[in-house]
Amino acid sequence: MNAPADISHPAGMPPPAGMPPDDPDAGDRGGAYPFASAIPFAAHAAVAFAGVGWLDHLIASLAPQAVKQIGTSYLIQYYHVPAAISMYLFFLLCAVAGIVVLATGSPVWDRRAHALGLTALLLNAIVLGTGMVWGKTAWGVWWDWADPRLLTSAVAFLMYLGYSMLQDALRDDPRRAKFAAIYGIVALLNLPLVHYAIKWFGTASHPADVKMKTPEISMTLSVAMSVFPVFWLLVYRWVHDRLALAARAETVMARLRRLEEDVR
Amino acid sequence: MSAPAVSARGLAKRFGPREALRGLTFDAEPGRCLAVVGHNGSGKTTLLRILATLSRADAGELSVAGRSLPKESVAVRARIGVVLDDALLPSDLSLAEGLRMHADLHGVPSPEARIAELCERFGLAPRQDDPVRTFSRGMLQRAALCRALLHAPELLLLDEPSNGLDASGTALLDAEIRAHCARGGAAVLVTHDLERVAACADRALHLRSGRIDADGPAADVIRALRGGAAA
Amino acid sequence: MTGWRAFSTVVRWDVAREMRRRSTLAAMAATALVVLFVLSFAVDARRADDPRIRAGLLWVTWILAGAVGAERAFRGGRDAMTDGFLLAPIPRASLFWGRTVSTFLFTTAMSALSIPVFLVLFDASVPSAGLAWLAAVSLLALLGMSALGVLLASMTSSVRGGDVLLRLLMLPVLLPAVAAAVTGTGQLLGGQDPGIRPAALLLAFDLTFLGAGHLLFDHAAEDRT
Repeated sequence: MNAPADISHPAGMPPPAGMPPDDPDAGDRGGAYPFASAIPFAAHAAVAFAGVGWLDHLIASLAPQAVKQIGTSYLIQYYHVPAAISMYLFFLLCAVAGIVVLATGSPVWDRRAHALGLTALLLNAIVLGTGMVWGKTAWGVWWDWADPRLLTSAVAFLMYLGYSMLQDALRDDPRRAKFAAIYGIVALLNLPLVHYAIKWFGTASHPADVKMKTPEISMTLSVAMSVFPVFWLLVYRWVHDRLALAARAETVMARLRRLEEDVR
Repeated sequence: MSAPAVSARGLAKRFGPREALRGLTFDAEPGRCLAVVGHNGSGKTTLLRILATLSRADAGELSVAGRSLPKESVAVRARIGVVLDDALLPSDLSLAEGLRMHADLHGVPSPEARIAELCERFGLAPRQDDPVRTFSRGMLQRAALCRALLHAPELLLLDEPSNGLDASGTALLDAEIRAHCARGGAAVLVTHDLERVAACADRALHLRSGRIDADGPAADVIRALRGGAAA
Repeated sequence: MTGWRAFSTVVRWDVAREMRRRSTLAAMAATALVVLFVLSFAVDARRADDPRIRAGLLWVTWILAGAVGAERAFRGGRDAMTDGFLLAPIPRASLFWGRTVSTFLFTTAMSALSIPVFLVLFDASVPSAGLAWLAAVSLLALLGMSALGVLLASMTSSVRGGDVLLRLLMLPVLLPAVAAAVTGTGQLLGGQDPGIRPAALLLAFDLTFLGAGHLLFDHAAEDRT
């Protein structure tokens, strides 16, 4: 499996946790703007999505006959559930990276936190999308106020949208890294509260999910679940490299300006 | 000889890609006034905010008033008096009340007498019960000096303290700084006003693009700067 | 200076300052009045007799007015008191607790002032049976709101366009507290027993964000420019 269009690492698959330390030139807290490169970003996201779709299709073809007879719509569960699990994993990692940023002020971890937050937002959009498709086929409505999981991901989406807006609004501000880290931690702390609030006080009427457990389904699902996060770690890696590239360009520009000043 | 009032070793600070301070090493001695001069954007105010615990250096070792930063910032704040570009007095309260608030926050003993004494010394006594929002720029600057001196700090950190002051105000400022140093206190004076440097400072640092360009007796640094400007 | 004394000094002077001009309270009360009035038009107050909807309207009002209060607790610019407090030899956590409590006092005053207006506009009455519970639930929710508001506003207030950013950041995080408060208030207004759950969730919410503020405020307050 190759990393999709990972230009900076053509060899593919460097494990994100063990990546080589960034050289100090790239190590700054400054502006890293995903939105400045929105078009290539969207293109890469599309490739990533298609890649997962293809994988998913492969997995789905392993699914038991019984499931296929119910309708292919159920297959989206193989996509939805692993995406949701990866999403929560990324939320957690984003907050952990944020704690490291607050403790050490490390620009390397700041960029990791930033990339984790953005990747989580992307995953969150996928979770919402597939959740809505599932709701439409299962209950006939796109938006089901009675589905507590859908509501929880919607609230998470709003929080991490806020996270990315905070990153963007403070792009030239020296306090960006700290503030984003704080909000990432606040958002994570809030997730269990959101879960219980919706469970206890929401208008949820039907069970959290329809369980269809056969050994085959569980097996297919577990294959999907183990492949999916790995794939999304690659997406994370790509987002991270885009941010690093933007930051390095900024640093070079700042150096040039400084040099000009010194010459004068 | 007693411990330095400020001891900085390799102090560095970045704002995003911009390096505001690039490795400053210097000491400020008790009983002396150290002036920090330089162009706009040379890092003077950034340095002062770091000394005042309002900002944190990214690298280097720093101790202020004998306590290391950022670990002992609360103890440092008890020992410094700071003048920034804002007077930091609540605009809706009277001067006396605003000073009383700061006295409470600093735990000043017998605050009423201390406030009355300072207001008298800075010529603010007739206005001390008026709301701070009615004050002129020069009076705000005097009020800010009162606030900075309120708790009898060991170290004064002054950012452009002569801004907006008239001739009698600057004379008062010069006298206060010298009296403070004569009592054994130290001062760090950030300014672009070379007159003040000549009048108050014993030593001067010239900052340029976040580096120390010159460090020496105030008179020498001023001469070099004036010469450089003439050439 | 000990943490407790520092805390009480911050609260005392925040309140003294507010008493002088009542600018925060006035801004919050005016916001509450406008929102309440517009909402009662929008939903037709005569027909909104579902207690949950009424509770929802009341809480939307309080949240929007409370955000104004949180903003003003850390308003940047010339009138900012923040640097003055940051230079005081007190732990940052004491400043957080002090600001949170003063903001809580102001929002509570605003809420209390807006209740009669609400009761008149909606021709509602508060059943005396659940009054203590109602007060407890409201105070718990307002405390959590204040803690979260102070933590987030200490960051956004010095940013350009920070007031908009504050609402965007704060509202989704507030959702659990809103859900619990609206449910609890609605059931009490309708004469039902809400049980322990709303209060329990609000307590958890308060502890979470008071704790987060206690630990994180140091980072949020640093490097203000």
